[in-house]
Amino acid sequence: MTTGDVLVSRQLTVRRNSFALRAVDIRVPRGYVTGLVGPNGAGKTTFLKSALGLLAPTSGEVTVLGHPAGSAAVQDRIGVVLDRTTAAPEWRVETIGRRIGKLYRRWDEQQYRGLLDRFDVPPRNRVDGLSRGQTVKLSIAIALSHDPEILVLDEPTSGLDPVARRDLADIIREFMLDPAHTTVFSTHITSELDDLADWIVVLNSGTVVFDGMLHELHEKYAIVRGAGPLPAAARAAAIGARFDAQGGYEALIRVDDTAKFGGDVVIDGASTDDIVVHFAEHSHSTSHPGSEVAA
Amino acid sequence: MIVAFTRFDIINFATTQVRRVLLPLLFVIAFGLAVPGGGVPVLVGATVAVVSVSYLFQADERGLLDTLYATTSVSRRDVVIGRYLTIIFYAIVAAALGVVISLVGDAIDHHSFGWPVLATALLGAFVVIAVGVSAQLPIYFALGFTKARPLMFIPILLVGGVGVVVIQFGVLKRIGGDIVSWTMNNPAIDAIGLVVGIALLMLSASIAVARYARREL
Repeated sequence: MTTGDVLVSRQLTVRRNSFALRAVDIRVPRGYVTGLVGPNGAGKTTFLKSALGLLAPTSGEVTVLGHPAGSAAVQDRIGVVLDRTTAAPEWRVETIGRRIGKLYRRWDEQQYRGLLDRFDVPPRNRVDGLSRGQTVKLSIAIALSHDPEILVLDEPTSGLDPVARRDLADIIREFMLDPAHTTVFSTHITSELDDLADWIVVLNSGTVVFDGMLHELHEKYAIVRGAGPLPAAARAAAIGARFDAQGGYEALIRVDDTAKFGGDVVIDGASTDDIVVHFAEHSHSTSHPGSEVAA
Repeated sequence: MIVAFTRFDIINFATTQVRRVLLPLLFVIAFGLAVPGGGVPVLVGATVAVVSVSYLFQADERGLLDTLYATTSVSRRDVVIGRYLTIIFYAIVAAALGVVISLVGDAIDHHSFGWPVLATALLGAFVVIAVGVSAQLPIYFALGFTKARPLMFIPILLVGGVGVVVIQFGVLKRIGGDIVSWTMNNPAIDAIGLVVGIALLMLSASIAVARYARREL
């Protein structure tokens, strides 16, 4: 059960060069781990930047904990981990708390030092002397040292080895032991979602393809494989259809559309990866990307 | 949070960019001792401080510090005002060093110290700081270091070009003394200079706040 949404976007539109996030309505429920998933360029980072107030929307709005995104009243209630560390390369790890702690209302230096110790981040090292995994852990230590209610992570596992990815998942699970806490993270490695996320938002070409519980996503979509040609009546229901040399096909479908494909097909469950890939292929193959968006 | 940010900014500038902080100050000392007389080191101090403005924005960009500031309890407005205060603080340090070097230089040369000249130099330093900071900061806040840096060469080249012309044609020798004596004999000029300089800084800061509020970080 959720006790309200901590992050809500209404008709959020952001135009940046050739990319646009188009009037998206997204909600992030309190107490859940929400995964933002989609191929590169889907709009994940743009959405998170809007939610953090780093990017002004072209139209629409984002509210976080009931306040406009980016307002100083709400910023220190969010712990932020971006794909690059927000720390000067010259800073020594152990001095960062003393440097930036005063910029937060609730900085806990003991907590910061404890997390560095726990994550094995060498305190005497300079920021530019840390490995990618240590850098992510440093960012998490900073993010968790001011007692945030929401943890926002943008592609945190990018470039991490499997051990570091597992450590990160453990950190998120531990953070989520407090029922008031919420985590939002973006990734294009969808296998991570199945272990970690409760709620999922699938983005594709700047539109929301799905927004709901992870198990509902898997209940809603399936993969259909047929040996013969794709039936004309089913063509519109096939999302991102692929054809092989023998004339067979594979497509993502809504479970409700199964009957349209007749009895001579194989229906399998769709993984999150299948759903993301087929929607991406679908948007590339149509002149109106996102037109297959779920109603 | 303005005070917290300014404190952070000054400490960060002084400890992570030691050479970039100290070299301009050493230049003030060297210049003041090499070219003694009056308040020239004061003006040099103000000028090097204004030229050093870019280092702060360069450091922000290298460490993604703008993004850091935006994810703390510090508002964008506080960041802008805090940065103005940091630069003014550094300019005051540089100008104060210029005053000390002027005093030392004149003492070494056994000249009697000209306080009115120094006061005029301080006013000149304030004008240099007010104009230099007011012109640069809104552009840096609007565009960030990389995009703003090329634009900064335009005023530097203009000022440098004017300087070359003034020196080449002896303009400074012909009218420089007149300007100093006219300024010294008209105390109202000091007041006008201060008021205009402060107004310029306030206008510049308000533009910078508005521009920085819209920038993607």
